[in-house]
Amino acid sequence: MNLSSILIVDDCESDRYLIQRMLRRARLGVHIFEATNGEAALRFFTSRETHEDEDPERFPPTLVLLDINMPRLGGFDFLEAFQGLRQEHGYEAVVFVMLTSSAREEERQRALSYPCVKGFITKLPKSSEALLSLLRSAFQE
Amino acid sequence: MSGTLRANLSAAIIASVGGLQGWLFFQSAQQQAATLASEQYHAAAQVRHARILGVLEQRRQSLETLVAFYQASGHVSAHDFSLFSENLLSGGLRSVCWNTTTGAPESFSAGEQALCRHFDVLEPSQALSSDPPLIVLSAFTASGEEQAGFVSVIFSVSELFYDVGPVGFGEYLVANNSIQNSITAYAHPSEAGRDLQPVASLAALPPVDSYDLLRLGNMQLVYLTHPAETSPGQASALTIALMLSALGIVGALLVRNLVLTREVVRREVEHRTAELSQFAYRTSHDIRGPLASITGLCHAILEDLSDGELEEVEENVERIQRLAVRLDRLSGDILALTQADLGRPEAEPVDLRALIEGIHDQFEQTGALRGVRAEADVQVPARLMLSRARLSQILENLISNGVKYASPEVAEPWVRTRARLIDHRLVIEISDNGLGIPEGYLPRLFVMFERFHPDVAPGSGLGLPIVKKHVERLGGDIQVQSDQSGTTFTITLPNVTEEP
Repeated sequence: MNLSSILIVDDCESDRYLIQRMLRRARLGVHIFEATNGEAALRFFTSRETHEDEDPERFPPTLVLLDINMPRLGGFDFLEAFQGLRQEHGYEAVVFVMLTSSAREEERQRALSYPCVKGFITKLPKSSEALLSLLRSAFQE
Repeated sequence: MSGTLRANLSAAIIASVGGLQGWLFFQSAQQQAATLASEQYHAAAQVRHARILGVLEQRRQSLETLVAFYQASGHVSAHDFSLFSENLLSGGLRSVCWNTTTGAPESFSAGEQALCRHFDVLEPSQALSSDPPLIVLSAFTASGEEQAGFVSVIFSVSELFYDVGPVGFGEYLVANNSIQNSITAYAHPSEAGRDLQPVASLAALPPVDSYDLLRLGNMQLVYLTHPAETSPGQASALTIALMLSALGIVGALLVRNLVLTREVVRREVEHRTAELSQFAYRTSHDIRGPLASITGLCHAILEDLSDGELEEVEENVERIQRLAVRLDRLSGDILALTQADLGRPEAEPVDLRALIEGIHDQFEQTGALRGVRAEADVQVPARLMLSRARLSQILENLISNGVKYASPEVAEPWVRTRARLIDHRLVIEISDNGLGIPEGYLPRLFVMFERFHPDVAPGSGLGLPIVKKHVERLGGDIQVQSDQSGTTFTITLPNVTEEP
């Protein structure tokens, strides 16, 4: 996996910490961005100029871990809004992996119906190895 | 065999026998439409309509979408269109029938199309042969006579007539005849013979831009629509009457009414089951999330201890603590919500002023006010028949909300509780000068588990649904008004004065 950086979008601070921890232990060696909900994530993606000044190598992130249930703007609402941004800003290569506490089949199907969504994780993976293999399979397509 | 299926089979049998009766019924309806009804209907209709108009005046707003008003104990509160559809769905509505003479669904307004997205859209002929539609959707400006005939016939197959044009139908029918620019009211068909009796021409009332659909059948819905669209077509009541009279509606109705009462009960059970199922899913999700996080954090702590890396251990323990507190609060709120729903409202003589002041003191002592000034303005009799437990929960929740969402930019934040007795009803207003509720969230304010200022204050999202359950069980009504300068909740409760 060739990653520029990773963005974690989740309203629960403990979950962001746990996923970051697993990514660190997997020694991916990339910078990890955080956003607390879909609204913040949208702002992150639309402030390209700021990012290109500060860290052009890292932006946009190659991988986004996106929680579904968040206040203000949830995962699915974010994806809807993001479809519009994809072409405009050249974000077609950004890969999304959805996170959720409940694994309802219709949520899975709905998530995978978006072309940019390549994987689906039920919170929380048991170990960093488990997370890594899930992420690898997301990039295999 | 389902209730509605049995109803329809019986209806079809009787209907084919009573073909001629339908035609005669139509004729008689036409004649009766021209005569005035009993004084009883007239008086009740006028009072009711005047009151609704009064409420509408206060709430006049430009409408692009339809706003449904729920009528509870004679008062109304507003919800947005999606909630309108949701409640129709949970009330058992599955199909919507449109009047073919006025245009295809493609020509419907955005609001009508939104409504149609949730339901199967049928033509009248399809509707007659399927489960009786609960709603007939139509937009037409027929003349008064044709309206009467059309309505009498439509009433015979639907429990609810919903009109997005200038015509509205209710427990009594309210029709705006745009040609005469007046309001003509018809009485609801009686149980016995579905006779249509016009109440009166309420031409004395000023023409209104919006109407209300009062209680119809077994559904209590009041809606408001803008008569901006006037359909070019005219309802061909005659055609429909011919169609339906061939089926002999009159006899079919009687049987149908009997069987459909059972339908109502079944639908109520379905609705409650759906509500429970949604509640169970959300609860389980909201509990499992934090539990999964706690499990992950414990694993991380053990890993770090085993590696001898202690830097993050303390912080992780604190994370677990915070999650545990959240879970505890959620459990308490779930219990409160169930009790709000199932408990029996037990009224006793209560001194409301003392109750409110007691809550303020309690908040003061526990530090729950957090610098917000709590004011009381209570002018009610010293003894009111109230459920102390429910009132306490309602007040505590709303006052606590006012404190939670106080604006940090305001020098003197306050939460004010005002109580008055108006028309034998207790009206309590809890207002604040805080952040206000963002407009997009207002329609979903009382939906379980929704949180609108999660960055400001944590919560289970159950506080307001608990309040709403209590208010509903007390037979009352709750409304909210909010903008950036603050929020006001207004609760109205009936039956609070003691019997002499």
